[in-house]
Amino acid sequence: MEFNQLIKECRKGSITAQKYFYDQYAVKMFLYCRRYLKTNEQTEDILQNGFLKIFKGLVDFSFLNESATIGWMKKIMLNECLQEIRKRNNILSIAEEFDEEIYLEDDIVSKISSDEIYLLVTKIPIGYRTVFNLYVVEGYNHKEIADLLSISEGTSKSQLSKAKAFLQKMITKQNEYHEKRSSR
Amino acid sequence: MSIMKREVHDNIIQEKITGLQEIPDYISFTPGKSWDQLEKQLQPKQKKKTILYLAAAVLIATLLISSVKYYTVSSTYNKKEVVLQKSFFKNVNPKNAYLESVALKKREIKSSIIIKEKRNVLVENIVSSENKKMNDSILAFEKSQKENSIIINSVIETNPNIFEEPIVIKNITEKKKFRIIHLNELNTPQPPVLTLNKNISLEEIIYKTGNSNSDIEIKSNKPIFQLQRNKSNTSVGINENQ
Repeated sequence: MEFNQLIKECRKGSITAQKYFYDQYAVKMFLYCRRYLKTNEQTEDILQNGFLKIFKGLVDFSFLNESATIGWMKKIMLNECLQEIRKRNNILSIAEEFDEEIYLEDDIVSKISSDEIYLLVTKIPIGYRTVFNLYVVEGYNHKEIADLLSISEGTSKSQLSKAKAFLQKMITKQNEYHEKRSSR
Repeated sequence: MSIMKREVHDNIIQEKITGLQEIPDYISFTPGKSWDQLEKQLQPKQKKKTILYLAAAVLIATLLISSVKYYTVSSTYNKKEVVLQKSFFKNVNPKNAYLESVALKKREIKSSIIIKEKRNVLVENIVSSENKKMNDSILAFEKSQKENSIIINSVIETNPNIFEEPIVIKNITEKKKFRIIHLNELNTPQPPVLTLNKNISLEEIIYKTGNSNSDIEIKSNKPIFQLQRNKSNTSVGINENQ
């Protein structure tokens, strides 16, 4: 089924079309949400809410192309995640200190697999992680992040530096572990 | 660390994260289970929609039925067709429905005829009884008029001037006048009054007074006059004078 046709069927409220749509994007959206949230259960709940909003929003959605639709879906999911984070008061808005970053070789980062990087990111504390995800993965600038999270730009920068320092430490540890395993 | 280096690292991390297409082993996620829950949340809305559609359909159907009923009453619509339509809505065999309707109509007409006949009979009875009464009263009036005319004729024969003299009509409502009696007189006895004896005949009176020329002796012990005492007593006198 073509994507445009699929969207039309979903708009009509066809359950089979909605199921097909869900199957196509559930994993992608789960991975997207899991980067922001703490647990798998929490992520599943947010994913369901997000899909409900997507199906509801499809009625008024003007279709351009698949990538634009995915971008729109990601935005909905991000809003859901941030709402959940705000609800649980997980954003650290006080600290404006900067952690010193560790020097990393380019090879070290590139050697680590996608799964490992993803795992390391999900281990970053929520406050740092949100800013890190928004800045590094989504490409938002500090002003936009500050507006989104209702924090100052300075807080956003400090949160990012802390997240990066945390991640670099984790990557170094991971690298050491790999080296030990390969030397054996 | 230089800004350049940082950006390179960020780009590598971004690519690795966004390039991840499958769920890593350390994350447990079952899309099917999640869909079941999502479907439950989606279905009530579908049900609501269907309920709304059903309600709208029912409303339209009731409007249609009411309009059809109104149309059958007000217009010269083919009765057979209407019955067939009604049977369609009532889910009844159309043939039976038509026959039933015809039988019902016949019954209605019969009952209306009976009612009309009864009404006519009643009216006739009332009219005839009224006529009879009228006739009776007319006959009685005519009879009384005849009798009156006989009496009048006889009166005219005996006294022809009776109708020439003006007739003074006495006031019927005029009060009876009584003799005024003084209070002292109430206890004193009234003097007796001589009145003509009603039991004696005119011939006897003539004979007794000696004015008769006949030789026949009429024996009679009856007196010509009789003493009659006034019946006035105290209580009556006072009350009536008041």
